[in-house]
Amino acid sequence: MAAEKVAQATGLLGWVDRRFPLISLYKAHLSEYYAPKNFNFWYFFGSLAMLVLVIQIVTGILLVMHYKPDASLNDAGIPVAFASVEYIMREVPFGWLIRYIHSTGASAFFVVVFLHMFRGLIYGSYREPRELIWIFGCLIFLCLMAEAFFGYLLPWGQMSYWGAQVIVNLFSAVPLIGPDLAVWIRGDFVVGDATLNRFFAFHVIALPLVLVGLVAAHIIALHEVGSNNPDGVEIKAKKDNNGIPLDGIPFHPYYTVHDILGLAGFAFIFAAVVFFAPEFGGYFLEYNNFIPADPLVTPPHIAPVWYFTPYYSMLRAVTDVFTWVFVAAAGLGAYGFLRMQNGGLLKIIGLVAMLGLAIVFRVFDAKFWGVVVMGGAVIIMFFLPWLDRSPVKSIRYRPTWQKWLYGVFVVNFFVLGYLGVLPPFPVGQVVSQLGTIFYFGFFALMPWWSQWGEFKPVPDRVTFQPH
Amino acid sequence: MTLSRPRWPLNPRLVPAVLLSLSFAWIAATPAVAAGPSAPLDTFPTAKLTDKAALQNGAKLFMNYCLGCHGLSQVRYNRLRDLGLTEDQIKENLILTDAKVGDLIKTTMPLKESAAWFGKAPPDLSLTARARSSGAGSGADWIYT
Repeated sequence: MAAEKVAQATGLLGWVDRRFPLISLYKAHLSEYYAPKNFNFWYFFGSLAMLVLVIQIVTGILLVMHYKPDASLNDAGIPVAFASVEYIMREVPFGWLIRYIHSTGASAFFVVVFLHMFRGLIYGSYREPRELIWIFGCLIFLCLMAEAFFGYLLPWGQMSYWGAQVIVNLFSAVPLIGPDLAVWIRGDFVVGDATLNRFFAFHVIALPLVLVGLVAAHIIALHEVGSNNPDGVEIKAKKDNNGIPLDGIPFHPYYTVHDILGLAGFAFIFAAVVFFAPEFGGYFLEYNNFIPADPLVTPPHIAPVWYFTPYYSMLRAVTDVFTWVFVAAAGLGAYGFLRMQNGGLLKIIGLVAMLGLAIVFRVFDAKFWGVVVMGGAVIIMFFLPWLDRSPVKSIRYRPTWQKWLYGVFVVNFFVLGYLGVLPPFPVGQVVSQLGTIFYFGFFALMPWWSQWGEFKPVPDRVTFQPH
Repeated sequence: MTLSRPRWPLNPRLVPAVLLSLSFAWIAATPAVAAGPSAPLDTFPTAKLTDKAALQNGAKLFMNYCLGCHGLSQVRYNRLRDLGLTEDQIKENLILTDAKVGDLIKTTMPLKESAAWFGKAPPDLSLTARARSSGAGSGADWIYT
């Protein structure tokens, strides 16, 4: 296609279009961007995630107009930051609504993002050529976790303060540089005004900028290769005479309108929570957080917000006894390298590394390995495109037992999450240790188990019932 | 690559099914292990929430007894209009300092000295009901009992 515009737009649109690629952007990303026609329920969550991001930014801007990030006490003895949140709740017109939308939106963001990631997991949306979309997505998830963590300190309640204290103290477990690192992050020897102000800066501008940039990169990467679909069939493989995929439909108007349905369903549930149960039984707004932060009073039970609890229970599962499991895993790794046929230098390096790991697992504190496991649980997802060696993309054409395995993975994630909410107890300790092993085994052993079993034949064209 | 069907326990189909049922058993067991002993507990009589006379009496008790040490500094005096009082009634009967009716309800107990006298300054009570809530019910029960 030559570089001339087929028909020059007139008027204001033409004036803009001669100076900014408005019409070509519109065509490339909306009216002539072809998406598979067989999208199902799971495909709502990407656009919902973008919606929640916008909701959080808008309500966040409104909150910052009245919030004061100051940990010092006012003349009534209440920290200024805490009092400013109560001021928003009671005295700013509709401040209570903005606050509840923002707090519910934070939890809604994680619900939507977990479901969005699960869609990617079951339909193989991370497979070639979409690895970079997945990596940008994992980076977004990491940034989202950090953003939520920084934001949670801002109300300056008991749970905010002590949750931040616990998590920043984890960094002091890093060998050699740990304690200095923790002081550098906090800006002080304990969580205090310095910490509050820098977390405010990160939460309000630094991370939102990074998030918006990553989301833009995520969508640009997606539009470059086109979306996957529930059948895992590449729609660009079969095009008509005009170069349009046979199973593709233009994103606008079909999916722009379709996503309004998703928006309506989401808004229904979101409004029900915001107006009738904004605390959600203490899971979205923890009761303990209505007590102003007191460095001298430790709450009886410190737990992170629900969306961090699966990772928190993996952290708690790593006890001194449990590190022997790591040693055993390193031993298995060493055995694997030993059995390599034509390894040469790689075999020797691998063996040495595994033996070194086996020693180091016992030398460093279990606390440090807990942090590594907690971080590793998120980092391992980055490698998913290279771990999955299945001949088919979508769970629809995998053996039945693998569908059950994904089901167990989901149940395991929920069990880990539930155990993370409770204080530790002996049975829960063992269950979360087994759950951690299953979680990592699911990913680490995927290169092998993803190839077992009888796979069903993948069709040429998408399976779609007109309705 | 296909597998001919090996028997239990090597049959891959059975492994996730067993794991699934075990995990359900664990989920079911966890609350039973985690729960402690239970006893009948008093609750706040919610009928009193609409009894204006009881509420105004409560405001009187608070201003006369509690406000001596504890602040209520997130609330303004004119909020008591919700109890069916006019601003003049509030000014005459419930404001025991020289505060105006639009001011925050602050205690006169000095903070630093009270921390020295009692070990800790008496806490502000604006959010007690919310803070003492739990899955079992609102914090009004804690305050009432």
